[in-house]
Amino acid sequence: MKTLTIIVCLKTVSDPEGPISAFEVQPEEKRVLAKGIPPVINPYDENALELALRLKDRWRSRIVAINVSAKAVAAVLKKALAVGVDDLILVENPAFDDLTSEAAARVLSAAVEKVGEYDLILTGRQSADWDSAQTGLLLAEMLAIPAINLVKGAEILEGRVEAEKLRRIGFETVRASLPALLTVSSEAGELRMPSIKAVLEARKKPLTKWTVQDLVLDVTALRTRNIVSLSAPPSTARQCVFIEGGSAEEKGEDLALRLRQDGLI
Amino acid sequence: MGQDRILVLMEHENGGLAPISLKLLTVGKALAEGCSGVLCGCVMGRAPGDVSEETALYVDEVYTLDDANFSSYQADLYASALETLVKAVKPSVLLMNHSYENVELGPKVAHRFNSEFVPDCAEVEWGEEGRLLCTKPVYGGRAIAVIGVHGVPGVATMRCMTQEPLPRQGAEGRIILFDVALDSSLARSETLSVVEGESVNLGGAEVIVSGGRGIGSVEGIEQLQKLIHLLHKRFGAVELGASRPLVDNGLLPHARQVGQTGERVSPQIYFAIGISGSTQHLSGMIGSRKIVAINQSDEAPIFGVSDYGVVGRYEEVLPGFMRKLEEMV
Repeated sequence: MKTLTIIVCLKTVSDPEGPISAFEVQPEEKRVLAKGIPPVINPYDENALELALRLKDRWRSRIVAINVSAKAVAAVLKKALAVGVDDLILVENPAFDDLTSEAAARVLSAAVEKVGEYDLILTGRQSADWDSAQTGLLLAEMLAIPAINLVKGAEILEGRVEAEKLRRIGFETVRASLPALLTVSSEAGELRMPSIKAVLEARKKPLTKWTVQDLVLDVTALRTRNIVSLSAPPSTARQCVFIEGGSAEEKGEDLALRLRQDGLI
Repeated sequence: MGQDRILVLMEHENGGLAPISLKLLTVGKALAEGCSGVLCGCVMGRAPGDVSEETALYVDEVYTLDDANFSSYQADLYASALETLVKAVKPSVLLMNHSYENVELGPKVAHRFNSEFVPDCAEVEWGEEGRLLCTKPVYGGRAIAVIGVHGVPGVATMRCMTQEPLPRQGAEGRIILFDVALDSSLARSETLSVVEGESVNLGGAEVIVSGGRGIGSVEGIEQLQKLIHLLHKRFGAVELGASRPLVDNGLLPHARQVGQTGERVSPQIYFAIGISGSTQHLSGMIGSRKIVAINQSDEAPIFGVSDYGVVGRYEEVLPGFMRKLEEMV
């Protein structure tokens, strides 16, 4: 079998596991500012990357990662090189700030065309900031290739991909011819840890940078998000009554009594 | 056609109209009234006559798309059919229930009209110059954004669990059979097999007992099931829920996941056991009437949104709780 070319689309986001207090909603600027927490690769994109690596474990593959951003967070993205990505391509331009999913897919599509031949494109099912859940699907539409949404696992068989796609209840096995795009869900598994040696080596690996001129892209035609307003959600804080004292078992008993007193049970 | 049209994608359930579709029609109706427009339902399926007739009792027009290819869901075919319908009917808005199928369908349809798809909306309304405004949680529920949708039709999926179903108001909508002349070769993928999961109804549960990373084993889940069994003596609908880690490691199916990428729930009582309280999870369960958390760490964010908290190992807390419960129920 020939070497597979797998493209993985990676975005960086403020760490969604960060505490609520680290996210400051700025209504005037219509943005959310993350303070004191580092950016990370979007967790679902990490799942996509892990799936790409699993395919590479089984079939001879070259993995190309593409990041589209206003300003790339190269130090974070180099993690991809440390776990086994062969080529990391950064497409940076200030005009890429706050693109709609459609515009982001348009830039990615131009980048994919420049990569040339490929067999599979993997993206996360959604990003942890705007949760728009469609960049991958739109990219597939633009490239006119099959897309399988919400994938938890995949295999390559004779020029085709067979993927397990989530349903709300259960899952289905879906087949598509290559090239195809898969949007990957967390069920695909967490990204493997790179070795310290690999992290150190990745720091020295070269990055590929493409400009909009390289992509023959008209940035003025790209739509940005039309945010009418952005606000903090209503407070969800409640006054928690802690069941104190005694052993854990006694606390359990006390909890039942409290719920009974409140007429809940 | 002249008038604005609001097109609502109707869903089937057990051969009839899905109750969630009536809630979605309430949202569609408000939009239609806001523009003195026409409320339309779209029914797609294999011989969906009954669903069309039921829909006609609530809307002005029903577009029935009956095609042999609709016997199972295939996103490309559904998108092509909707594309044909949208070209003919020219709705201002296409509304859909927030489901796995529709978050795949939405962007495909919007793309063909150079318009925009907004998933997971809590509200939709009209803005200035007739622009559709979609309100949705972003950053895992840490902020609420109102997005002015580019293009027409604006396509949105909504979670409308808390909406009232549209009441019948003596409507007698026109049923229009719409032939989309679907070409099955448009499908870019094919389903080889389907593995059905167990039936789960988190949305309809009175009580949910959810486990998280702290549960972490089959034995832990068995403990939760014992508690559920006990609660069944007192409540009709009790369901087992999960936060994402339990689903990611395969201990429970995705249908049981509560959170941003799972279900949003609002039971009478929500038990969060071994759940630290990531925003992903909190955004799904915050609407619960009473929240009870059991967690080893007194610093777990879950306590910040709970009514009752027990700091301790669930393996030790639950036996006492269940013993007392048994005496009561």
